[in-house]
Amino acid sequence: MPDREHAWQQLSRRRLDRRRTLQLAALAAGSGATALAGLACGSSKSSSSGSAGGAAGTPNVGARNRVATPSSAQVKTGGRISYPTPSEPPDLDPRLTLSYGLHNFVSSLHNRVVRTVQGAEAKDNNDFTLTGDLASKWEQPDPATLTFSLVPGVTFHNKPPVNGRELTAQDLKNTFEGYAKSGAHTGAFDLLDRVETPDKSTAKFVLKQPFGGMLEVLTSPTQWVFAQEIIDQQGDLKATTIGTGPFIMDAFERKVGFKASKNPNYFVKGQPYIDGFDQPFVPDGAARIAGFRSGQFDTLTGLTPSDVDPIVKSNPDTQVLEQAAIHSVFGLAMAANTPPYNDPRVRQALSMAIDRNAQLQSIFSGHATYGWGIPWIYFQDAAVTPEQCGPYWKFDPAGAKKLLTAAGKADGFKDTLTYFEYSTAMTSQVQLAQADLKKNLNVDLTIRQVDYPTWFQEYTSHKWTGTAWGFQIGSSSTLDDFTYQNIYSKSVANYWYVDDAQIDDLATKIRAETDVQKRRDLVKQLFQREHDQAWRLWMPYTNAFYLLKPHVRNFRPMALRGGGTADYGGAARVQHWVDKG
Amino acid sequence: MQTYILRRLLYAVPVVLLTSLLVFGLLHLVPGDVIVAKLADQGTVKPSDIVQMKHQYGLDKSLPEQYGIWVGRILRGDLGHSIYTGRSINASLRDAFPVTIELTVLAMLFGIAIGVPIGVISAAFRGSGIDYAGRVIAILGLSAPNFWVASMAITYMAIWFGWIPPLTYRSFTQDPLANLEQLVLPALVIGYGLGAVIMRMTRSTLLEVLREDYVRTARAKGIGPAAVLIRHAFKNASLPVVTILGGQLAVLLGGAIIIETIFALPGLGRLALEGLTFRDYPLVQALVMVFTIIVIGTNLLVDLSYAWLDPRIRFA
Repeated sequence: MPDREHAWQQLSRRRLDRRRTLQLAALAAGSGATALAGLACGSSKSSSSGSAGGAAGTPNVGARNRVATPSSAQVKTGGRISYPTPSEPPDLDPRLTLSYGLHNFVSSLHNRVVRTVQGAEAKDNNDFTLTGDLASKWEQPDPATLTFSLVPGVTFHNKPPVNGRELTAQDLKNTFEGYAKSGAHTGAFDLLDRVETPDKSTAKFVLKQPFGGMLEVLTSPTQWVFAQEIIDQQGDLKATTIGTGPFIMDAFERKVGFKASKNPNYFVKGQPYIDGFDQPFVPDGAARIAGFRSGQFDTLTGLTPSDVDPIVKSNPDTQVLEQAAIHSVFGLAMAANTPPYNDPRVRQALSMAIDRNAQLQSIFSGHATYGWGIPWIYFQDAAVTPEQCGPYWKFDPAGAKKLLTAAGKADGFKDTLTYFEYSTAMTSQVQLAQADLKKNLNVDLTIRQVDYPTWFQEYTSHKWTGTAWGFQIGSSSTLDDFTYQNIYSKSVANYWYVDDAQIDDLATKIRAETDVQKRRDLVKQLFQREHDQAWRLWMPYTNAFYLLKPHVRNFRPMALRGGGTADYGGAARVQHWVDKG
Repeated sequence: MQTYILRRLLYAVPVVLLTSLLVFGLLHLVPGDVIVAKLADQGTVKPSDIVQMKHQYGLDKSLPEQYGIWVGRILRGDLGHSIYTGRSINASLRDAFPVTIELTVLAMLFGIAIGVPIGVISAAFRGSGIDYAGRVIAILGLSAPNFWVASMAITYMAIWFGWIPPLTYRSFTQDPLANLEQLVLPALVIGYGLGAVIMRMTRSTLLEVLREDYVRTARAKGIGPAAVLIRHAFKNASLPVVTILGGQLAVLLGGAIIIETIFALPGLGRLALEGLTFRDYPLVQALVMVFTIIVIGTNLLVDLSYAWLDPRIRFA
């Protein structure tokens, strides 16, 4: 039996306080990539290491990583994996929703035109290299055209009314022109003019204007190629999901869960490895944890650092993976279209008066990102440092006071802070921010906690006022979402009331730019401008923890795409396998 | 008896109507909108989409008009469709109803099985250590919220025993053993709270009855204590307990919402929670009407059972 006595197990016997975490991170420095690569290849390395960390405000990524117990050198086939999820989709139609309750399931049943590398294909968890899915190759003859050659011999699942027929370019035309016309993806495809099909294996995407982000939009884990026959026969895709993917849906029981089994005719030979999977709907977090402890479930996610320790203590053979957040989803939003928030000095002062590091350490025990909005993978090769966020992200109450005084608000002011409690950690953050602003600036925000429909209605209808704990669209997003949809002044999804001519100009240029390096430079400028003007006060955002049973293999969480549990990484399940010895 | 039943059913009509009016009105007063909640899944909410969907679901009509349309449908047996899922509410209720009924019946059985014996023993050994123990058990059952008990049970059973009830539902017809395995713990959790109420009521009414002359006479005639307790005293003491059961049904149904969520049971409670979360007007309205009818029906059965328990009672 391999020696499992390593730093993680020693650590779990003691309370994981901040000092211990930093010590472990220092111990782990320098071996993170090797450990993660070992997991990806199913190798027999056993290490608790991860990438270097430990500087103040920098998350200790990898300090809690624990590589799978030694797996077989060969992939094993057979078995099932249970991926519990808290949420159930309203129906099965991918055109109508971005909810991960649907997409983390159907992503295992469908394919995209192109995708990003996942699991063992990737060099690390933040690798966003493009690769073909249904497309074997693609060309861009001009900035407004993309031509895809389809993989030959791909067939739909052998279920009526599609009955296993071959996928053709016409399916791509039906799918993407449909997405552009109505539903949840119109924003993503607002620049798609049409899809031409010169032959059954070639699909030509013709854009309304040059759009450098089109390929990446197509990698989004929410846009699946579907068969028109289902719509023709049933009117929509709400009740039936038939794709070309590695798994076939066996059952969708309301309030119970999904079941899927292996597609014997999947076009990637040898995959998937497991016979099928279950995705039970278990809304209660304590129940999901209990289900994992008792062996009913094989995976667990949506955990905080304080959840992980007790689970590992009771189930010491648990695999623990941590994926560092590459951006924040939440932050303090200010109604920047009205006084006093339309004055950048007020926004900058509020930012400087909030101690982000205190949140990061006290609420997340260091396992969170410092707080920025645009994923760093879009403009640089390493995580953003607190210094890069600019002077207004530094906790400086005296400097904040000066700015607020210069803006004519020396005595502070009163207002409200509206939010919906997505998690108890968020409530703690809201309270800490409120306390900081009151203490440092005499900005007295009355917290107004509302329920989800009220919150969503006010927020997305642009009816909220004062301040709010706002969000940008989460893990399904693409560069275009982050740098245009969420921030362009006239965009419907600009919930933060950002209105900056320079940002608008950069957002428009980013859309049109097809050169990757030039686009990265533009994104970096947008990042800097946003922080300089303190339009959106991003706050620390938790890293993602994935807990796995020891027999689950080849699981790798990917930035923005999840890991294949209750997230957008369902497509990664094609690479998972089970090894029970 | 038939006249009594008919009269009770007639009285139920205005109760049901008033309930329908209340739930319809209150639901529409609550902030938040099912259309926005539905469109929330799309990531962006365009005003034009809201207008179009409101028209599609008839939500742009006046409230009295909407109410009238809804009542008309109910009278035809058509509960409508969930706005959030698009699913027929009749179909949703057909799937969820058996789960909640089974859970409620099991909970009641557990409640009676826990509460009555402890109440009887407590009364019989009044003032003793057994009595105090019984009362402590009852107080704990009354004071601990059932959702807390459920969370503790599910967490510590997993830690101590490595076992919890299956969290993937199997109906009784699919797999009776798995079904019971899944429902025993949640029913026990709900039943414990009910048992506490029953215990205290049983104990107190039994103590009163035990002080009656006929009980003293029965003892004087040499009838054994167990026979006095069970055959003579208990039946008379059971009337208030039966009344409690009827009243507690509404509490059980309400408690089912949280317990079904914790134990991942696909019952009416979980359906109601989803409906409330997303302001799914037709679904919530239909569920409240169903709950109302169940409570009215159960209370009628409770009242009818009095005649069996006490032959002196006759219905005018």
